[in-house]
Amino acid sequence: MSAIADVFRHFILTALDHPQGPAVARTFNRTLQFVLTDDEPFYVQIQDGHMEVHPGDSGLDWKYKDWARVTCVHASAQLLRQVIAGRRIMSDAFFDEELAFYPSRAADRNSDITVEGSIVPWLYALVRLALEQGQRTSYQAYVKELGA
Amino acid sequence: MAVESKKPAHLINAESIGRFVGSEAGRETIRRELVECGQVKAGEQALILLDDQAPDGTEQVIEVIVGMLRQMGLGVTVMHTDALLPLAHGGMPGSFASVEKYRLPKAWFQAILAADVVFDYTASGRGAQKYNVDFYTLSSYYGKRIIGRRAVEAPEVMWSEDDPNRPNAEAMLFPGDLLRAIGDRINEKLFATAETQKEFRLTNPWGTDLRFTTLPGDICAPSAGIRRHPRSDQFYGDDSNRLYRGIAGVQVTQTCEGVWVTRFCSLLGGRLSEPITIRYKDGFIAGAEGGPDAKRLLDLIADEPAGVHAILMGINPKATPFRAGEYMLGNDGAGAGVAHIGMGGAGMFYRSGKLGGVGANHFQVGNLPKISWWAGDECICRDGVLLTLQDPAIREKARQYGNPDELLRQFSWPAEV
Repeated sequence: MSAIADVFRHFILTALDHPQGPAVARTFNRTLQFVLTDDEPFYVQIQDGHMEVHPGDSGLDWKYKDWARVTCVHASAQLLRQVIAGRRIMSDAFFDEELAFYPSRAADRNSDITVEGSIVPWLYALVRLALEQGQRTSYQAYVKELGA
Repeated sequence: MAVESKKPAHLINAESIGRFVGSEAGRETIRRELVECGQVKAGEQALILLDDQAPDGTEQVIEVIVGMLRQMGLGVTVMHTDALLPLAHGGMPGSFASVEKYRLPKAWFQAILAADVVFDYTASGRGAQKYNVDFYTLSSYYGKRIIGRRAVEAPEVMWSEDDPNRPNAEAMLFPGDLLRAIGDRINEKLFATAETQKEFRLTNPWGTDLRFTTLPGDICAPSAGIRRHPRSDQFYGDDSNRLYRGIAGVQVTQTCEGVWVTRFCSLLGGRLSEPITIRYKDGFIAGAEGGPDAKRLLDLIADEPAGVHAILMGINPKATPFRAGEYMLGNDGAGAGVAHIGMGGAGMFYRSGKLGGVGANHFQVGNLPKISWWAGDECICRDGVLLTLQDPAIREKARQYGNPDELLRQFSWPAEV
């Protein structure tokens, strides 16, 4: 597994420690295929609230046969590191054309992918919860260290 | 493009809004917007946004909404400014030129972030969550419940064909779940066509003839974008929360060739001095003919090519897009047999075998009447008549709400349109 895939795995799993994390993760079952411009691809499988990160290509045909099971996430390892570090917001990166999702509209016959609906806000929420949980954990450690 | 702002042209005015809020159907529509689209609950904090670019009379709608929300037990705050997202080049609502990265005042951003539910009645309320980065962030990243509306979803329902002084209650109060079913039935045919990699074709009597292909994952919108009620999930946005303006079609195209002939363009301020013919090649505007408006359109997109962002048809059989026999050029595409094409949209898309943008300046080049739409060999809409309305499955579904013959009877197009 590439370094960025491993870092992202640790990061995104932190979302499950957030009080809202398990419920949010259970919202959809989906494979998110990350295609990176500067590193090896990896994919995230989310099933019934359980998340796994795997290296490489999921093998799913996102264009036709498996379009209702997978969404491609176009990004870079550099961007993901910035997001994880809290220096970039994913939604800003989308408007900066450093992040893209394809196909772009129907997640399946009953739900959307983009701002109109579901999958993209869902991913954003998991990332936001992971960030919040990381901040919460580090603050708790800081308070403990202070002895307050 | 430089940004300049002024009061834009509007399709509705204080008088028509007054009739709307004064009618039983109008008030019921507003109530449904709060309950079924906004999913409001007692104890929540609601924020209402307004700007001076909104149509005269919008305050009347807000007054009613504030009263209803307070009666339902919500706390209400109203914020008013001159231009929340400035409309550039004399454009009208629906045009989002030059505002994709326009930043909201911090106080407004924080106020939206703090509210439980937001009703955006500024001129650009509907669409802001797709075409402006801050609204996109608030909606998608922070998951804020923002109901972006113009004062009404579709101005064509502000009049009835039989009474120009009465809103079109049949269209506004058409059963939402039946519209969802019609949208899903159309989508089944669109998905099948895309999955088998067949071509779509769209024509109308003005001379439009467009051929395009798309990926199944670019068909939109599920259930025609009509609200699901009740619902408890949190990942839904503005365009999946409409009451009666159901639309179906495709987002970005893989191929798109042909011509679009229009008499209206939101980027150019509305009604055109003469019809223009827009040529499409590889999904982008490749040229335009038809006098000074055509030249101005090409001038405005000279810096950034404009690609197809969506091609959508209306599905509401009661949303008559004409008045006294005259086609309303500025209708909002709610009616069956009407189609619009949206140009440009923020972000990158997979199209024509590669990833790229379609131009960040979003605008529309008019709603066309009496369309014919083929999905492969199957005609979904012929000469402005939505054939899906006669589908046995839809007729069966309609029985839950009344007489299928009456519910699914589409308005008749005037010969002169």
